[in-house]
Amino acid sequence: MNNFVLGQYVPGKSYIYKLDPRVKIISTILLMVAVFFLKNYYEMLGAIGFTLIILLTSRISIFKALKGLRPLLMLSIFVFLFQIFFNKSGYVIHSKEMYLSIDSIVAIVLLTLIYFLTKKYIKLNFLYFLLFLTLIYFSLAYLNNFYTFLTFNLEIYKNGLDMSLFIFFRLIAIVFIATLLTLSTKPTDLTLGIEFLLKPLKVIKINPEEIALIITIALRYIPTIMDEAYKIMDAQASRGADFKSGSIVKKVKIIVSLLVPMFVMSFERSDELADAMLSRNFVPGKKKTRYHVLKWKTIDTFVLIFSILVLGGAICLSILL
Amino acid sequence: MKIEINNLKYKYEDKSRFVVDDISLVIDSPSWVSILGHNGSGKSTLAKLIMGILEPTSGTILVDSIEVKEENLYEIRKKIGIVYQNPDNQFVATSVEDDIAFGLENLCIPHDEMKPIIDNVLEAVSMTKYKDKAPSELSGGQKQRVAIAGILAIDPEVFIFDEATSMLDPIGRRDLIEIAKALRDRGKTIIMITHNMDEAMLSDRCIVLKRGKIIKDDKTINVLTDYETLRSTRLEMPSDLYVYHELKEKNYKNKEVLDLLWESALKK
Repeated sequence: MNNFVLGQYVPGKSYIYKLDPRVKIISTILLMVAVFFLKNYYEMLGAIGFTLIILLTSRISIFKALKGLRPLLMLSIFVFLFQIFFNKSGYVIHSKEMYLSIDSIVAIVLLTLIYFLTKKYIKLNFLYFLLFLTLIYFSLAYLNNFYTFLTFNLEIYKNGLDMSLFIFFRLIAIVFIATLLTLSTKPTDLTLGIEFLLKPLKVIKINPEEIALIITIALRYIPTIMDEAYKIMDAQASRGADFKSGSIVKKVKIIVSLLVPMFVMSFERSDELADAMLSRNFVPGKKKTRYHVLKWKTIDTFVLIFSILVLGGAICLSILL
Repeated sequence: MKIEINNLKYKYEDKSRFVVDDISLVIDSPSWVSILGHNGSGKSTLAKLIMGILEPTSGTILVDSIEVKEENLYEIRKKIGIVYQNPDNQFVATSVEDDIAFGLENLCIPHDEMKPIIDNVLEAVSMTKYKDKAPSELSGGQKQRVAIAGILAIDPEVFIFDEATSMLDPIGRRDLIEIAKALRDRGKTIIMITHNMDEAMLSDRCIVLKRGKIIKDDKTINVLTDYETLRSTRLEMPSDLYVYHELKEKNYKNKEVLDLLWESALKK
């Protein structure tokens, strides 16, 4: 656990690493906004292609970027299916009679059981999930030998399909753009960039330096506190606590036994950290010099102009078409 | 420069007992002073009072003739640095160099001057090759060395070690002691709060606290051979002095052995 590294940052040397974090954050926002101006899934595919080109030219591994998609996979599948089944406009492009009968129900139950029991042994779990869905589709469509309770039509409409593809691709495009930023920027640089961009908030008396400090301390202590959590879990486990099995109520009780010591220890920690910071002359809100200073380079200007042009292009496209 | 403490009293708001109970002492510079005492004797509270983190209930502390109070804290903390017990809880930034820069930034040192200072102090604690490491990649001893480097960067005259070695393994402890010795050789004053007697042996002077009061304040060798005082505060003698003491008690006659033990104790 000691080598736990926060964030997805992967060290590298290409041009994207040399960019000023401020430009990267602004460009990321501009490109994301641009994605929202696109109107159909062909354009969306174009956007994905565009981000892939940036990925390739900046020599960031596509696998790493794909990993960024993983947490959103279930969400995107859900949105996809929801659109397909409930968006009933346009013309029907696929229609199939489905049956709910004893044998199809038995098949579905069996499939579900098998799926959940074998899931952890299969590496390509996304493809496996698709296979699972396909098998359910076939059992609903073709198994109707005993006691059919219900017959219904599965209809897929043109707009439903278009819409679901559109949303699906948009999600991918946005996650790709965000991953581009997080893969190529150190958390500390990101913090510096955020601090600079939050400067306008000074008007409403929010000090961006303090926010940056909060982020820095959070980043610094997440690994430490994770370590602590594992230690407490080990300690509780050695006294017979079981974090993995049992009913929900039991699990909640066990989690409380983890959270209480963690809270107490974190408060102690923050007390001591505050003392240490004060001893080193930290005065909240006081003006101070900076060790890291961001330097604006020519390439930054180019990238900024380029992203503005991309956003402009996307807006033009949405107005003209 | 000297630290002058006059009739200092402190108690936590919700308690009736004084944790620091009428302490007066003067620490001259340069010197190496150990503050000894068992848990709850008030030794860490005393350090926090000197740093101005706690406000005394009554009495005064003068550092270089400046009184420790709210408006002078900035000056005081330029003159005194402190290393705390827990290596993890005083590391502010996400990398070694940033942590050292933290103190410099607070003192408004110009950007161009920071880099040489940081390189310098990292060299002094032999942590140069860990410059860009994250705290989670360092051992406890290394983190304490970074903490010392952070204070060295501010360049105070007095270093307080508040049980700074108590959470370290023997090697980390030894390294830290070596650094403390190097600091003394540079003419810094060291105040070491500890209950490790081998560390106390290194100092010129020992102050023993018990329930917030000074019960002994003398040259180290006089304190560490005062068996009665040490026992009453549940402190242990350094092992060689203990053997010396026991042998003498039992009328052991071989003078050669006794002398050897005495010398070995003093050598540290």
